[in-house]
Formats: sequence, structure tokens, C-alpha cells
Amino acid sequence: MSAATIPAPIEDAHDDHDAHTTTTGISNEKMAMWLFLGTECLLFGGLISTYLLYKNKPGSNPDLAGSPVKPSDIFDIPFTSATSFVLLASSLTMVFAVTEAMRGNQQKMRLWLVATAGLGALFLGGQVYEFTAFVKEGMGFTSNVASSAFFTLTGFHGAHVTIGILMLLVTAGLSWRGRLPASKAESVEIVGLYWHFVDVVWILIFTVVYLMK
Amino acid sequence: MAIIEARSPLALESGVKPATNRMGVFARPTTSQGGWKSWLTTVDHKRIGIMYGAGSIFFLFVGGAEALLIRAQLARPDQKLLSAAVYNQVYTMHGVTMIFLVVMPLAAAFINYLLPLQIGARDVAFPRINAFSFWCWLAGALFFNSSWFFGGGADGGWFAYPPNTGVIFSPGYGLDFYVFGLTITGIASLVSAINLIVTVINMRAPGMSWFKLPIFTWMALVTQFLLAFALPVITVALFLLAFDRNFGSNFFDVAHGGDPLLWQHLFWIFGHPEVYIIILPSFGIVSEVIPVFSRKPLFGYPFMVFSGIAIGFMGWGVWAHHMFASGIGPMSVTAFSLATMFIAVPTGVKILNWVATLYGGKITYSVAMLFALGTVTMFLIGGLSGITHAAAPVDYQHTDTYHIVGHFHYVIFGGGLLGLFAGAYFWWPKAFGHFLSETLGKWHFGLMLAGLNLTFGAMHILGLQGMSRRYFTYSANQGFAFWNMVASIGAFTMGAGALVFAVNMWRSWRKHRANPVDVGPDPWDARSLEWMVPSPTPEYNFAEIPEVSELDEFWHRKYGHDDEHRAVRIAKTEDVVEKTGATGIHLPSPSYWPLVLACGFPLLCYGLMFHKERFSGPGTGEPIQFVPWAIGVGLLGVIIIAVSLFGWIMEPSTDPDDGHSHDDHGDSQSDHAGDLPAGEGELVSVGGGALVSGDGGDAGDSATSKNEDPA
Amino acid sequence: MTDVLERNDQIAEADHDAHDDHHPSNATYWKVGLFLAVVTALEIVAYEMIEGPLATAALLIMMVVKFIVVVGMFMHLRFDNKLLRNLFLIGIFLASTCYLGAFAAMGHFEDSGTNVIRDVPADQPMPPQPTAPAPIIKESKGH
Repeated sequence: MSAATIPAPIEDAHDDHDAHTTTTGISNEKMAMWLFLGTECLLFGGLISTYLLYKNKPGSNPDLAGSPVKPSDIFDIPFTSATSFVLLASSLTMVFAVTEAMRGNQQKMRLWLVATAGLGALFLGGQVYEFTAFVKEGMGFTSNVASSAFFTLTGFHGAHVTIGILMLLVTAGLSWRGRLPASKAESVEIVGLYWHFVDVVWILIFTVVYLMK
Repeated sequence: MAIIEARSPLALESGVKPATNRMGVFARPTTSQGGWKSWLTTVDHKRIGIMYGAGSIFFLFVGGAEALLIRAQLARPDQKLLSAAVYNQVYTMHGVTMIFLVVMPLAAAFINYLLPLQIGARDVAFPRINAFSFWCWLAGALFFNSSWFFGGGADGGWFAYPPNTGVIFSPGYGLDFYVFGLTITGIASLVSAINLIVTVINMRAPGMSWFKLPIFTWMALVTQFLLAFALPVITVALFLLAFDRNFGSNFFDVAHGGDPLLWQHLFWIFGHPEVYIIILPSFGIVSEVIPVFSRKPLFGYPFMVFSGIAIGFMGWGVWAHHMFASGIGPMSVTAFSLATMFIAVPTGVKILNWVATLYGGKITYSVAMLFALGTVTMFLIGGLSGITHAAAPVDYQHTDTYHIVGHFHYVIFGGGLLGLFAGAYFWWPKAFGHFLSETLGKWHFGLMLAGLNLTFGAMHILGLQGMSRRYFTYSANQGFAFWNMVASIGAFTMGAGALVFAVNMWRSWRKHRANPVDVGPDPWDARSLEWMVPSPTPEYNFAEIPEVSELDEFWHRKYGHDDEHRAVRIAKTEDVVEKTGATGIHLPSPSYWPLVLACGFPLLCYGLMFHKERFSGPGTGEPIQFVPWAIGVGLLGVIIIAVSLFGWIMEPSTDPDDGHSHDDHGDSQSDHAGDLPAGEGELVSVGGGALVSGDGGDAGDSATSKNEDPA
Repeated sequence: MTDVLERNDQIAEADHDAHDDHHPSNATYWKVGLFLAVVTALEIVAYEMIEGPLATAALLIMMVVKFIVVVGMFMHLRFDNKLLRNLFLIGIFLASTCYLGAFAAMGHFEDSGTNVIRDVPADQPMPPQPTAPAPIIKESKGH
């Protein structure tokens, strides 16, 4: 099964047969993804709120147990800015992947998908480097409430990025094996929605956690 | 309507047979397999609903036994049946079990069974995900209850306030089972909520606009929105507590600057919508049952819809009424107190509309109707005591006493559970093709009504006398003995009622097996679409998806109006209902991946819980001590999850080779090769594309019309 | 909301076609990407150069702008059926109001900003606070 020839989708002969009409005209999968992203707002909202609650606790009171070093004391804003640009760029490459998918250019779509995954991996690598640096400077997960909140929030985000990268690679892989016919182009868009949301959450985190004092 | 192209996740290349893939031993099942295995791989919403029902009734007895232990302990002062530590476990497990493993899944049973039928669809939007939700819930339920075998159940109360539930004051594993168990069941409910919301928005029968939706579906829909948006909040709380207990963080430890109130806020932002999640399905059931047994339409349908939506919306603004005594300050207390008073209004609207429905109706006191009336009256009592709690100064006296325990049991048990029993008696013939005994049902109702009023009425008095909740015993000189004895007698009365229900289920089934009688599609002369199909419901639901032109569509096919607006029969029921035995209808194929995926989660959680000795590792000053078997189990869980997800993605939602493949289409003789003869009731699932929700799109395919067998 | 839903059903077909027409071109996407990069750069400048509440306001505004642009353009929400926007908005609305409400109830927006219940006036010293008990480490090793 070569990657160059994509077999005619099985549905071709039976498009009516497989067509399923939805009451609103929106596909079930797309609606489900938007709903899911709406619920994720509550999840990340809670984690961001926890961080906001605790970010200034260390050092605020001499009687408090735990390290007095706040995460904001040891942020490396230039470095985090760079990783933020990387993630933002990955959103752009994702958009192009979706465009190519809509146009039926599977080869180009795969390139953009892999580029997106690569940029996402680069972002994750940056996170790992950043966190290792923090730990070396004495701020670990258990150092104080602010560091716990910080690592929980960014850890959840990183887990979401990881899942996103897997989804991107699986999509690219399916396409390469010829299992992503044109009628399924929307699934690339849906993966894209998830990926952009992960980027949007980072937009929130970068501003609220790193930049705001 | 726009035509959206097929959404089978993957189309296999022409000619590849899934049954002979590399994993040939684990070939995909087909529905022609009968027996218990077909239940493990089913994606049929009706079977999933029945399994939810069976599971929740099992846990009803588990939670009920826990309740009886509590009441046995408290029947008399200074008893030593249960030690304080064990008592804490019993009442915590009772609460968690009853809420998460009984009332919620029992509501889910009805919602899963009825939603597609009520909207005129063949199944939900994502059938395999639906199956996964059930198995994941079951996995979480069993995982949570396995705590009894690992040193004891959770013991911090169902609300699990830290720092009491932190690892210093609760070093046992019970609360870890709580934290991880609820996360697992939470995933199940969240995913199911998304599934059902998409189903209701996107898969309604032609003509079923929003204000023709059956009222039960409306309430179920609001419930799903509440679930979807509230569960992530408790997920955050559970993770923070899990990290505190297992990974050395200090989110809720005051000495480190942590704030126990953070837990309370997060928990109750979930917890208040949760109680509406509990009650709204029962409200929906009552709204279906009362009109049928009054032979009148639901009074004020639009008001019922809007009040349900209002309850769902306002429920987000009252959570801190569970925290009046926690020191949030007078401004917050006032705000939440006012909001709580306002939320009584939409509920009052509903009660008035039910009463108005009954007024002037021709009432039949079937068991379903008795339970429905019981729901309304018991919820009214519970709601009235709830209003007294809304006044914060009064609540300072009520809080943490039995007055609150009495209140919430009236609304959850009297409101929620009685409503679900009403649904059971009402829809039993539809699901199983036979009735539950009305005589036994009346005993069931009577015992439960008497018992619950004895128990929870007495608790209101105990609260006013000053008895604190969550105490394992009390002294003889406190004056609580009499009403505690009354409450305990009531509890055992309810237990007897539950046994009667179990006996009823069993005997009705046996009687039906011995002497089957066809109850027909519409034994109650009801109003909504599910009564249009044979009983028990055929696998494909509707032979032909109905065109809907008004609310209570089925009723209006049977009845018109005369000049004085009285109902007049315009058609015989047998002419309006569907006949049995349609063939050739496309259904989604079964799959074992949902079950396998669900098994991965508890294993992962065992690993997370036991992977190291409790007081070793970061934050404890001791070197970390790993526990190899636990790490192995956890890794196995991860592998199972990864492999299942991969297998799931690789498998089309409907198996093209399942007896009716695309390749066979050209060749009319084998078109119906896989079909069983009509009347078997069991259809071979036919291959093809994604689930067909409306027959309009299938004009080109002869296989979808009923009984059009070219052979 | 229901009339929006009814209208959605009716215009779904038209919407589907509209969706195809409104597909921004690659050039547009590059411009959007550039815009986002510029705003991010401005955010960093604001962080470095501005102090106090002005910085906070500027950063929040820029964050919201980026959010809307990514959601509206990259996620195509601007051109899609309004129902999808509404579903997503429910999440945003609930998250903002509930978490802000919790912050307010926790006294986060008040001057003192502590989480300790004060029962003495602010100008007097706090009474000694209880300390957490020593952790029980070596006692309950068994499961």
C-alpha cells in the first residue's frame, strides 16, 4: 500500500448511503469537539485560579513553611517568550494543514501536520528545559504552594500538548497509509480545533502567569 | 438540511476483511452473537441503559446496607456496633455510593434508554463512546468499592474537606480510592454528557423542533449541560487533593499558605449543579408520568422548559450556601443567600404546573403515578426546609445538624429516587415487554413513603433538638434517643420496600417467562414517540423514522379534539403504532474496545496510589521507596489505555464486513444475505457507513425500508 | 436561545455553503499569524517597560485580543454556525463568573488579602495562630 496512491474512498459508490444528515448541518464530531473545549475552559480556569490564588504566598509571611521563592522570581521571560512564539507558529502551521486537507492535498497536509507536531515537541522540549532549570534553582513541585500550582497548571497544559502531538502524528500516519480520504478532511479540522485551543490556553497562561505581576 | 458526508473514522481499503487482520484471534464481534458476550460488546443505547439500571440497583443495595448499618448504630445511645473510625467510613461510602453509583447512573439508565427514542433517532451520536461511558463508570464504581479490601473505605464524608482528608489526618488509602474513583466516574459522565448533548441537538426526527421535544428529553438535556460543565471543576479539586495526598504538595495545608476553602469552593461549584443533576431527570419523569395518568397534556409546557433551563442556569450562582459557616464574610453570605431564595421560584413554577396538570384530569393511581405524586410532595417538603436554610442566620443553627440531613434526604430520596422508581414502573413494559406487578408496587411505594417520612421527618426534629451530624454515637442524656429510634425504624421500613422492589423485578420476570403476554406498544395510552414502537423496543428503534408535526406527536396521531376541546379518538392504536420485524436497517457495529479501554483506568489508578510507600519521597525527608507490583500494574493500565485507543481508532464505527458489506451492494441477491427472518427481533447489524439518523438520506439504498426484501 | 437554534436549523444549508466561501486565503492566515506575533512582542514590551495597573490592563487587553483572533480566525469560529460559538461561550461564561465569584468570596479582592479570619481590628497585632501538627511519618506503614 504505497503512500502515493490513495485508493478511491469506499463511500464513493454509496455516498447517499453513508451520508448522515444532522439537524443543524454541523457534523456531530465538530460539535462534540467545541462542547469539549467549552468544558476545558472550566478545567483550565480552575487551575489558573489556583495559581492566581497562591502565586504571591511564598515569602508573604515569615511563619509560612516551604521555600520563600516565588515562581515569578525565577521566570526566564526571554526564554518563555521564545517557546510561546514556537507554539504560536505551530498554530499557523496547523491552519495550513487544515487548508491543504480541505483542498485534498494530502502530501502537503502531512508536511504541515508534522511541522505542527515538531513545533509542539520543540515547545515541550523548551518546557522541560525550563522546568529542569527551575528545579536546579531550588523550585520543585513541592517547594511551596505557588510552585505546586505552577507546575500543576503547566503540567496539565503540557499533557494536553503531548496528547495533541500524538493526535497530529496519528492523523498524519493515517493519511500516509491511505486511510484518510477526502470525505474525512474534517477530522483534520477537528484535530486542529483541539490544537488551537491548547495554544489559546497557553496565550492565557503566558500572560496571566508569566507576564502579569 | 445540509448533507454531511459519512463520518466512519476509517474506511478500510476495499477487500480487507477485518476478521482476518493481524489480530485475528480478537476478531470484531457481530451482533449475530447472542448470549452474555453480546452485552459486553454492545453499543446499543438501550442495552447500555439497561446495564446502567442493573448496576445502579445493585449499588442501591450496597448503599442501602451502609445506611442500615448507620441507623442500626444510631438507633440507641452509646452503641458500639460501629467504632467511630468505621462509622466514618460507612457514612462516607453511603453518601458517595448513593449519589454517584445509584441516583446518577439510574437517571443515566433512563436517559440512555429513552433519549434516542423520544427524539426519533436510532441511537446516540457516538455509540462506542456511549458504551465506554458505561464500562468506565462501572470500572470506577468497582474501583471505589475495592477500598473496603485495601484497608477501609473513604472516611472524610462525601464532600471530603481537607485538611481532614489530607494525608496527615487520613493516612489510609480510603480517600485515595475516593479521589481516583470519582475521577474515573467523572470521565464517564463527562464524555456521556457531550455525547447526549450532540445527540439531542443534531439527531432529532424531521419536524421535531425545540418546542416539540418531550419534556423528559428537555430535562435530560439541561442535566447533560450541567454535568459537562460542572465535572471539570471537581476534577481540578480531586487532582489537587490527589497531589497533596500522593505527591507531597500542600494545596490545602494552612502552614504552607494553602487554603482549605479553595477545596470547598471548587467542590461546591461542582456540588451545587450536582444536586440539580440529581433532581432534573426525576422532574422530567414526573412531567411525563403525570400527564399520562391524568389523561391531560402537561400544563404550561413552555414554562416547564424555561423553568428547567432557569434551574440549570441559576444553579451555578448559589454554591456557597453550602459554606455559610465557613467564614466567607457577610457580603458573600448575603449574596448567596439571596440567590438561593430566588432559585426556589422556577421549582415552584414546576410544582404549580404539575398540580394544574392534575386538576380536572381523569386520574389513574397506577404505581408509576403514585411514585410521581410522591416525588412532588416529598420534594416539596424537602424544598420548604431548604428555603429555611437559605436564610443564612437560620442556617447557622441548622448547619451540621440533622436538620440538613433530613432536608437533603427528602429532596434526593423523596424527590430524586422516588421519581426514578416512577420511571421504572412506567417504562418497564417498554424495555422488557412485561409489567412490574402493581400490587407489589403499591407495597413498595407504601413502605418507602412511610419509611422515608419516619426517618427523615424525625431527622428534622433531631436537628432542631441540636443533634450534630457525622457523629458515630450520642449520649443517653442528650434526649435524642426517641427520634433516633423512630428514624431507624423508618430506615428498615425503607429497606423492606427496597426488598419488595427486588422481589417485584424477579417475580414479574419469572411470571413473564412462564406465561408471556404481549403488552403491546402502548399499554398506558401514552403521549411520546417511544410508545409508538413494539415492546420490548426493537434493536433498530423505529422501522421508519417518524415525521413530527407537534408536541406529543404520538398522542395526536391517536386523538383529535372536538369543538369543546375534549380529546376524541381519531385512530386505533394498532393502526398508529409500528409493527414488529423490520429488516435491513443499518446499525452501528458492536465493539470490545470500550470495555477494554475502561479497564485501563482503574489499573492506572492502582499504580498511582500504591507506587511508593506513603511517607517516603519528596517533601517527607525520607528517600523514596517504590513498590514494584504497583508500578507494574500502573504501567499495564497505561498500555491497555494506549492499545485500546489505537484499536478503537483503527476500527470503523460500523464494520463494513459485518454481514452486509459495501462490496455486496452491487449484487442484489446478497443484499440481505445477513438478514435474519422477520420476527426474530434480532437483526444482524449491517455494514455501511456511519449511523443513519434520518431515512431521508437513504433514498438510494433499498436496504432501509421495512420489509422490502427482494427475495 | 431557542430562536437562535430554530434559525440555525433553517439556515444550516446556506451556512454550509457560506462556510466554503468564507475560507480565508493562505495570505490572510500569514497576516493573522504576523499580527499575533506582533501583539505577543508588544506584550513582552509592556511587561518590560510598564508598571502597575496600567501594565495589567494592557496585558489583559492584548491577551483577550489574541484569544479572540485565534478562536475566530484559526479556529474558524467567526465563519461557523453561531451554535458552536454559543456552546463554547457557555464554558467561558461559567468559568469566568464562578471563579471570579470564588475569588471575591475568598477575599482576594480586598485590601488585606490574607486567608486568616481576623477577629481583631486591623490595627492591632494578630493573636498567635495555631501551627500544624507534626506529620505522623513512621507510624502507619501498613496498608
